[in-house]
Amino acid sequence: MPRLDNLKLRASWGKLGNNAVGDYATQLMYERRTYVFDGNAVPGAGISAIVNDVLTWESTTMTNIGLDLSAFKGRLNLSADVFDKLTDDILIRASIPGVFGRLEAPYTNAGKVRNRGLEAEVSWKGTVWNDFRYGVSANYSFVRNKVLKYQGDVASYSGQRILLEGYGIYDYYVREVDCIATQEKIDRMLADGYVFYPSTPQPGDFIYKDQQKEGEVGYKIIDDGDRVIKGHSYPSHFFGLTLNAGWKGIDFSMMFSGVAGISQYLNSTWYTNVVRNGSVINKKFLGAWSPDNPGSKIPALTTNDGGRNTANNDFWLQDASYVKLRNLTLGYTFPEKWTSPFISRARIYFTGENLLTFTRFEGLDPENGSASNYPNMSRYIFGVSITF
Amino acid sequence: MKNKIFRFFLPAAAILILGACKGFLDTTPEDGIGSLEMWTTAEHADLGVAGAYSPVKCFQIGSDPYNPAGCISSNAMTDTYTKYAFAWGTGFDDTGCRYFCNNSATTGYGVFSNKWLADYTGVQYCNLALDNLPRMQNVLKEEVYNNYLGEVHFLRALYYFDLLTFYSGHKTQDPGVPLYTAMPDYDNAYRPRSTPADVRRVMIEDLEEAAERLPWRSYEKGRANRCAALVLLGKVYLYAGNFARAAEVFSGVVSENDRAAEPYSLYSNYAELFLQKGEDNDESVFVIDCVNTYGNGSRLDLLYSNRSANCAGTNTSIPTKELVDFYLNADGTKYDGSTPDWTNRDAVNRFFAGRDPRLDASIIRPFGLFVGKDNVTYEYRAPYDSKTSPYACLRSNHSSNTNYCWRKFCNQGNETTIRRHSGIDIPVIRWADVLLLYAEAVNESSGPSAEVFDALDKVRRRAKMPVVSRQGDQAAVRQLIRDERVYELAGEGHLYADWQRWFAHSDNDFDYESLTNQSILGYDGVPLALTQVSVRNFTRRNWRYAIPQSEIDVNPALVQSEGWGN
Repeated sequence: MPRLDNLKLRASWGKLGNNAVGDYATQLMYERRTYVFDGNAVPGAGISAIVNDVLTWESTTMTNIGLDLSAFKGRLNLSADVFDKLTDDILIRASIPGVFGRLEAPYTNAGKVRNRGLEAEVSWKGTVWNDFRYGVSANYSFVRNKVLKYQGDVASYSGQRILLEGYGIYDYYVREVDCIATQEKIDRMLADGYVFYPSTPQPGDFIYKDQQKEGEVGYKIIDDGDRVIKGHSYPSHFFGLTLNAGWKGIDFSMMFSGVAGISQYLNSTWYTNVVRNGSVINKKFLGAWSPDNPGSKIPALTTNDGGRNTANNDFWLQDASYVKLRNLTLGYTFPEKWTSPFISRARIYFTGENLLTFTRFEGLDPENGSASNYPNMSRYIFGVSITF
Repeated sequence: MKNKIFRFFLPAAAILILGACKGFLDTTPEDGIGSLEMWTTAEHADLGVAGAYSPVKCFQIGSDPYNPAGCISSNAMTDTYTKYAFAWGTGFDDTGCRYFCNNSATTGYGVFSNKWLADYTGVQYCNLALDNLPRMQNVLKEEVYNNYLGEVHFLRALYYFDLLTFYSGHKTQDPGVPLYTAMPDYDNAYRPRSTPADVRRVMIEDLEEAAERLPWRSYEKGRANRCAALVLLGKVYLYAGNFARAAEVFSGVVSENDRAAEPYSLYSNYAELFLQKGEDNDESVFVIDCVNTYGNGSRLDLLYSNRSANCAGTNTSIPTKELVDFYLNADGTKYDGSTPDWTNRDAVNRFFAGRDPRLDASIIRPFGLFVGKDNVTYEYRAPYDSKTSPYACLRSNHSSNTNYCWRKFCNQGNETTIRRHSGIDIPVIRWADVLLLYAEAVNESSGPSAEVFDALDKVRRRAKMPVVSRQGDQAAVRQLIRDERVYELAGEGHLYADWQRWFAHSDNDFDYESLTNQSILGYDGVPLALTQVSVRNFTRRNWRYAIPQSEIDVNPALVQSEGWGN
């Protein structure tokens, strides 16, 4: 390998502690609770939280093996890493049963999460035809997170997401839509002994898959017991591509980046089959199911859904993978001989930021959560830069 | 629970700063003051006992005293689970009763979790107090010590009674609720339901001890007392179907009251009982004292009242045509269903003048008058019109409809200066209720007798209604008493629990079709245009609440209420 300039093999291991909660989390607190006797509001006291007096720090153990390579007189650079990040004793507010009352749950060192993956970056720069300079740089990483320990079989929930041992952090937990109901199908299922929650569908509503088989608890009961884990709320793949080139005074660069393997739950007042007075909804719902449009996969528009279609389900769960053109710059630097001696350097340029998004996600911005969040802005800048 | 690794200790250290607005205490060094200290001085006992009362009225969610959902103080809204009232959705219905009314609630709804959390908060506050008070015998005056211990025992029974009523039912075949007689540690918190009999044993012990320690009348308005403890004890037996014991307890209550230096008695004016001016009366046995200051009032004004009231009420609960039609004629005969010309003021006024006066005292009906905001007298005309003569038109929150409105618990004029924090007290136990419970217990236990009719007569006379004829067999008198409870107690939060007492979940006689599932009609018989709710569509599951989904999720030992899915 005569052209190899540098080859380095790296390995590292480290452990960090983190006190991620506020002070005094090991103490029971009494809060003010008022009550009225004889027409006077008098102070009372009641506990507001349960505490855990055996808290310890979170710890993160990071193991990393990497390779750096440089060749062809520095024109090719490559760096790759495999990592394993294990966070243990994670301070989590445990779920406590409501029989304690309306108390804040205590922190516990309950969680153990593993993030495993690899990162790679490769770049090439070169010159052709004497004065055409170019460079390409690409990076990719893959990360998988998994909850190794939490609360045994007991899950925590956050909206449509679930935190459960053996799965990714807050994976989605939703019902699966089977089909759009017709009167005939509803009648058939009812006659067959099916029970529906929150209520029996009407024509145009979703019918959800019954996840239980005959003989299992919940068979022929369509309810939240039919939810399944489906879709990650953190991306698995991250990638980026940077291109740049220059010729004489002209310079050009563009940068793409994106993620894949992430889902977003999109159901808001703007993206819904539930019509409310004064609210604006996505025009997609013009194509909703109706007696005249029986082939539609979109549930019928209604003012009173009662949770029949807005129960957490996979219709509203969308692939939020995307590729964005983050930046594009084109500039021209005037030759010095034109501008000297008064001006040492003059450049005009155009820069655009967040110019293009390629995604199947139907919200305003796949990077920015639910539909109602303000999307990232696009910016176009024309500039003149003069240095005296 | 699988992970036995956590260990939660109660009070490592805690203090309370009284003057703090936000509640969080502890700006002094934390290592010096522990929760043991919390229960060492007389002042701390005052705080702890008042704290044990607090979930009765309003458990503040965060710092939001607007939301008393699920507390015993909101139970009046649950009359909407019977045919006599209906919850009409507005954004102000934090109780979420409308979702139970139209049966669209799922197990994750607040209507189920709020009450669960409020009652169990009360249970655990009581448990902590009962753990600590016995050590304070030397610190507190004997009288104070007895009062405090008695009050907390009463409160714990009150919370468990409410839990059984809504999540189980009190009868042997009902599923029960989880039972905690001490604050559990984390590992022992995951319990299955205890049977109603087990819960009852705790309630009976609590109430007997409370009755032992407390004076007959409250030493301060709003406190528990011996009479309240005995009445609740009687209810515990009555709801369990132990009529002999119930009759014994209630007879004891009535005779002890006759001998008492300060006996309870019926207040002369029924209508004023539910207004500010009738508040301080001898009828209140256990009352939730409300004052019109922020966080210390009653929410019922807002939920019951109308737009013309100073609180700009939301008519979230409306009395139904079934209730109005159920009231007797003023001469004690049954109303025959004939209607006046609803556009004729004089005819309508004559029509209602010919009915039980409690109708007009409880309900605002067409051409009924109401003194609203700025002491303007309004006349109820529905649908709303813009005429001003002879009175401006009272506006209900559903003003294009022909619904009735509540008058009970609605402030008049500008009495309520802080909206949602009404000063009208909420009676939990009042003497008329006691008399009817007494009559019911005796009649069930041994059939009609002079005492039964005497009790009914007292309630009738105060209402300015003719007394009942002293004839009829046990079944006929049973019906008389049941009907009287509706006339007397409508809108006060007893009716759903009454049905639960009178029928059983497994009882095929409890026919939801005829008892609850009527369409909701206006006074003129026209169905109301219910935009946020449908007609009532109860099934057998509506007999009781679902256990909140969050609870089922974390505690696999709990079995969900029948019909509420898994």
